[in-house]
This record gives sequence, structure tokens and C-alpha cells, in this order.
Amino acid sequence: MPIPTNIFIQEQVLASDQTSINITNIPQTYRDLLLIVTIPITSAGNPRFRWNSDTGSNYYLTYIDGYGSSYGGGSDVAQQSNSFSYTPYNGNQMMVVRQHIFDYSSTDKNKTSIIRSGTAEGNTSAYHTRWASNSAITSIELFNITFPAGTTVRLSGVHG
Amino acid sequence: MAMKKISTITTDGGQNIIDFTNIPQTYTDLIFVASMRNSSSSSQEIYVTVNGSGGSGTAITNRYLIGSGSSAATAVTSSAAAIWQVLFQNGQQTANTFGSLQLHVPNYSSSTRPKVFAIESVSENYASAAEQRLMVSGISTTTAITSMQFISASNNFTSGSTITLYGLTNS
Repeated sequence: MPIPTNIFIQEQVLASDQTSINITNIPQTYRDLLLIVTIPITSAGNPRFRWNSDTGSNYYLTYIDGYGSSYGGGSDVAQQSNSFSYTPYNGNQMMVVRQHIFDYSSTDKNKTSIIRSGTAEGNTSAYHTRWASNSAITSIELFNITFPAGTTVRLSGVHG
Repeated sequence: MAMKKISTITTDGGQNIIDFTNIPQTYTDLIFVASMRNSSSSSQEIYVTVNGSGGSGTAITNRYLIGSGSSAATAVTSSAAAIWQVLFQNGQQTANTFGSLQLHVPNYSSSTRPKVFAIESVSENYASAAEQRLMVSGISTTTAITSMQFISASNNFTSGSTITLYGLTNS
């Protein structure tokens, strides 16, 4: 029998604007997590994430961005949160974010993720993130922008 | 299970369009996973149309980030009729190699939301240059997606080109 993948865990569809989105009580029964988010954003913005409410300087990031007319890359070191996505465009756009979190339930390694994100009007981006903690991930917080009504958040699990 | 196979189409070399029609409207997202090549001897692309046509009222913006192994590039096409240049895999690449692609369409069945497409693709080439593409494409109209077409810009798809369509559920 094939190993099941993308097992639905939970979904949130915002009925009104929110300044943060919290995913809590994540079951510890999978190997990886897949987080798919769409945001009907209306201005430039940089949604960010934290795990387990950790506000310490434990977040690391490398990234590449393509804007259509220019491209760039860089890194963030020892930050108090990580970038989840980014758009420089001021106007109506649909942001899509796909995050794959590896070995989230392990307790013997730092936690890493790969993010693919962007908007057709702004940029396409790829991030690699590391959380300098061996703790299992039990909650995810998205913040730093106003998430409009209609934002969808879907969390799935992948068995090992 | 939250990821379910809807259908698979494998070509025999006799078609330049792979058409997924009558897509069920019962999932939250669609994911296409493809292994493809077109038989053109020139640098011809594979592209995607939505609901049969990219004509008036369905203008598409495509934004790209491309790495070739020796350089990086970025580009944008606006008011386009298709999701252009999702993959370059043709007769100019090493024989018998197929490119790979994943195309994700969240909320495809919504009749109130603009549509966005997240695309990753890689071409295979046993030489100094092979491309990896990251793309985000968007359509401003809110029509639900009921069909999608993968099109070889010139010549037919090489026999054995395969695309599988999956649906994601929220239960």
C-alpha cells in the first residue's frame, strides 16, 4: 500500500481581517508538515512566522527573489522570527505560499523548511529556513501583516 | 486521505495538446505532476492555458526566476494568453531526457477569488546548461477552473510524456 501523503490536519478560512493566524495543538504523528496559504493581499507586505511562540534570536533564512526586472538573494541571521513570504507590489494580488517543514516532530535536530512563495504582480521567491531549536513543533504563528478576510490556511501531514 | 489522484494522461507521440477536461469541482486545490518533452529540434516551450483559452477577460501575469547552472535571470509577462514557458524540454536537450514539473492551483473551484498558480520545473540535460524555473502566475478573473491544457509550442509531445492530476481535500 502506498504511504499516504498530504493528510489533512486543519484548515482556517478567515471570515474577517486578522493581524495574526495561530495554528496550535499540531499532532505529533507525522514526519513532515505541509502548509499552504493564500492571502488576497492589497499592498506590499512581509508576513512572518514563529514556531512554539519562540521570540528568541533563533531564526535563520537564506532566500532568492525574482521580481521580473531584477533578482536578488541574501540571508537573515539570528532573527526573532522568519520571513514567510514577501511582495513589493502595492495593489490587489493573490499571494501563494507553500512551506514544507521537515521532521517537525523530532527532538534531536534543528527544524528546517523550504518555502516557495510569491505573487504574479510582485515576485517569485524561494526560502530555506532553520529554527535553532531541537524542540518538536507544536504551534505556528503567522503575523506582521493584516491577513484579509478570505485568507486560507491549510495544514497537512506527511507520514515517514 | 487528503491527496487523491484524479487522472493520468500519457501521450503516444501523436498529440501536441494534453487536455484535462471536466475537472471535478469537489477539491480545494489541484496539483499537476508532469514528466514531459516535446519533439521539436528548436528551442520550443511547453505552456498552459486555462479553461480552453486565454483570450479577452482572462489575461494572465507570469513572473519567473530562472537558474541555468551558469547564470540567473528573471522575467515577467503581463496580459498574456497563457501560463507561458513552464518548461523548456525539447530536441535541444540530451536525447531520451524528460523535464519535470509541478503546478499547484489553490482554490481552483472558487467563483469569487482570482486564481494563482505556483510552478516549479526543471529541465534535464547532460551538458553545461539545464534550467530550474520558479514561477507564480495569476489571472484576475474569478471563474472556477474546469479545464487546463498543456500545449507543446511546436511539434508533438514526445511519446511517454505523462501528466497526473491530483486533488487536495480538506477532510
